[in-house]
Amino acid sequence: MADFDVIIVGSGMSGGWAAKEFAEKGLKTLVLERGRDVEKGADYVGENTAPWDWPARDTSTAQMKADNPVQSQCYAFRESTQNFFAKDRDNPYSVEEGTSFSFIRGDQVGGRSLLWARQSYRWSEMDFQSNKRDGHGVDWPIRYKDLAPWYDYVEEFVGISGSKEGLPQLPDGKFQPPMELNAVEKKVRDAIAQTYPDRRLIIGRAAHLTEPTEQQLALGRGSCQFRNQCQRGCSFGAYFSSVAATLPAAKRTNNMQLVPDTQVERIVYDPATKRATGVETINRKTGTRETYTARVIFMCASTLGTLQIMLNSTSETFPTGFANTSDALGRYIMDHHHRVGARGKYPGMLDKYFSGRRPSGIYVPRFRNLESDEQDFSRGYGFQGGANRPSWQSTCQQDGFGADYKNAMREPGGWEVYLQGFGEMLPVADNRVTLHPTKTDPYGMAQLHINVRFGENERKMRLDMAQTAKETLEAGGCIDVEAYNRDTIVGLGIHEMGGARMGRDPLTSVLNAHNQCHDVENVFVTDGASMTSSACQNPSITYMALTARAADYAVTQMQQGKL
Amino acid sequence: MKQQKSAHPSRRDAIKGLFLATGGAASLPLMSALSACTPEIKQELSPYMELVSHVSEMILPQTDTPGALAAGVPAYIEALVGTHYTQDEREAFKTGLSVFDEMAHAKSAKSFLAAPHEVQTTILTALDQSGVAIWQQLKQAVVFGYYTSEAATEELRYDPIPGGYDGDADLSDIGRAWLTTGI
Ligand SMILES: Cc1cc2nc3c(=O)[nH]c(=O)nc-3n(C[C@H](O)[C@H](O)[C@H](O)COP(=O)(O)OP(=O)(O)OC[C@H]3O[C@@H](n4cnc5c(N)ncnc54)[C@H](O)[C@@H]3O)c2cc1C
Repeated sequence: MADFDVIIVGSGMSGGWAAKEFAEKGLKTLVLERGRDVEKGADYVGENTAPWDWPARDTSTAQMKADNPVQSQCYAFRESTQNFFAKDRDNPYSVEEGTSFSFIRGDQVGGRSLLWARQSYRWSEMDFQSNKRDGHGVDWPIRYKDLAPWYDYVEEFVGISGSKEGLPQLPDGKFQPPMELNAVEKKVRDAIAQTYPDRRLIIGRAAHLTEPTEQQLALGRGSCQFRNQCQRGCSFGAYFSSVAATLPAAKRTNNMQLVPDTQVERIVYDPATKRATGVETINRKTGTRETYTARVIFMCASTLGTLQIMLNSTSETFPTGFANTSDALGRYIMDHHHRVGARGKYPGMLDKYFSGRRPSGIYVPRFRNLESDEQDFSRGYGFQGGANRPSWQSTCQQDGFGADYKNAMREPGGWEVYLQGFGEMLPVADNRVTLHPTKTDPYGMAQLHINVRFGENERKMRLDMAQTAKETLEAGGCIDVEAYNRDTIVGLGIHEMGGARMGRDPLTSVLNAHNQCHDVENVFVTDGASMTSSACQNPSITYMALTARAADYAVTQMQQGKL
Repeated sequence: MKQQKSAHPSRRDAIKGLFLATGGAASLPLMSALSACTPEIKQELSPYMELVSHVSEMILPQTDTPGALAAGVPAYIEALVGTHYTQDEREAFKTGLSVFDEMAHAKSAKSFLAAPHEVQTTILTALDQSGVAIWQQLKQAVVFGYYTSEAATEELRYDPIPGGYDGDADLSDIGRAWLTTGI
């Protein structure tokens, strides 16, 4: 008999959900996490620490950058947050010559759910039909209606603050009260609507509690305090992380065992039963190798983490990687492209300011190619942004010194508004990861070799993004608007997806409509690796909905004796 | 997994978690490899510290709130230059500082520190206009050291745990710019 009913690999955004669902349904659940344990509160070492408490006043020092050349590229990396970023030294990977990829990772219980910016936008029917519509990639095996109830389900538990807008391309969800647009954002919104009624400026939808439910309070979670220092961890449990929400929910059932410091190396396949029997692991602290067995395995190690394990799980049946008769494993890797948009000044309104640090911004949902491709590129993009009055960090740049100079900085700077695009990336077979033939990580596991680049469609889209960001801000009443379109590196969107895509045909996809391997029925992949296209919305809420849906399916199958 | 801490952390608990300042150095673009701030380096920098302190206080003087000296800015700059600068950067910093005395000599003063206050002010005004590198570097370090110090919580508005967001606040009710902006 197997040791467990289910093994979940990874304890981040998706693994936490799998753990909660299986444990709450009474299954004996094992969560394997390669990183260290993280306890809510106690391990939030950066929380509540003022700038002057840090040796380098909460910056990223040259030494930190030298030690972590990849992680330090992330905007959120600094003294107070670095403990939730992986150490580059422990997580080496290789990239194809002539390409670059910045692999931003978490390496602890909670994964990157501790670090995320909490933006949570549903996909729409358009997104699930996009591949079919324009022929890039294979058709999704599910439609919006299949996932909608699961969005409802996860959103109610997660707690998403947002406003209902009735937009078909960005379906409304189960929201807690929205955060507030500030005075200038409202002005800009109203002015844009005059010129571009289809460009809607709305408040960001963010995984923050603004009106906690009984269920959330019972888990020790409380309302957002508007500190905007979330990536240090939040003892209020006000933003969603697996550490604050799903893992405690799983733990209180007493059906879950979570084993940290345990890296899964491979999935063990039994050709006689055509099923996986378990996983082989290495303890990163002791080097001990162990095999755990289970009836069902859920892969939630993050897109590339899961792919590394699957590519490493070769056998006579699957010589090129686990459940890979389609040859799609490791292919069709996507990210979102960003670092393109515009910024400008908003004149006047100098008697207006804000109090509190809103930990989220504004959103302009996709407005391009909604019905058909009327642009010279496929798919679309959304904008994130906000209006702000900068403080000393910017006002110090004025001339002068002395009391007048100091006093001038008591005044906040004038209003500034910015929009940053997040664009969809097409699925392309040659954008792929493989295992490096010789290089290994410190634990002896073959390194990923990453060969992914943005293409012509992304390049064309970016020109449009810069252009529309500028004209949108100008329509909103901004002056001195400057568009930007900076070089961007794949991976820095931190929305890497694909590699084990869902699809209808076992010959062209790895997973079926239930995130279940076509080739091996008791192995599921529910993290970003399962994505068939990338849409332009931040993807984590979709991973969560897919995970809860797949867990429900698996449990039903197990109860019926089919799994 | 370990036991969870208190289920409902209060605002007061969170504030209690704040620690006192330990001083230290900040990162500026110039910084490179971290090296230990040895007593020798402290010694090496000591002839320059009086000038650095004096100019710091001229950039951000005591008003009805603490100035650069009370905020510990010189110690911050000493740690910055002594701990985070490379040997070459440190040499360039020391050499760069000679511009103050050179300009004082041109105004027939023995040194910058010995010059009358109006002469010092004239020199700083000229430096500020010229945009010379050492001045920019020093001004930036003074500003950063000051506004990341605890003293700056008196100068600007500081609220570690706002508890809410008001997007339509009147500036007159808040009075001054916020000290911190979050991530
Ligand atoms: C700064 C930042 C901002 C972001 N902002 C947003 C946002 O606003 N909205 C959004 O939707 N997304 C955002 N993201 C992305 C989001 O964090 C990820 O999409 C999400 O965490 C992915 O969930 P996951 O479960 O697949 O992976 P993760 O949360 O990364 O968890 C994977 C876990 O698996 C573990 N693991 C990996 N390999 C193994 C192995 N071999 N054995 C055992 N365990 C393993 C890892 O250590 C990790 O704990 C952001 C990310 C970052 C870093």
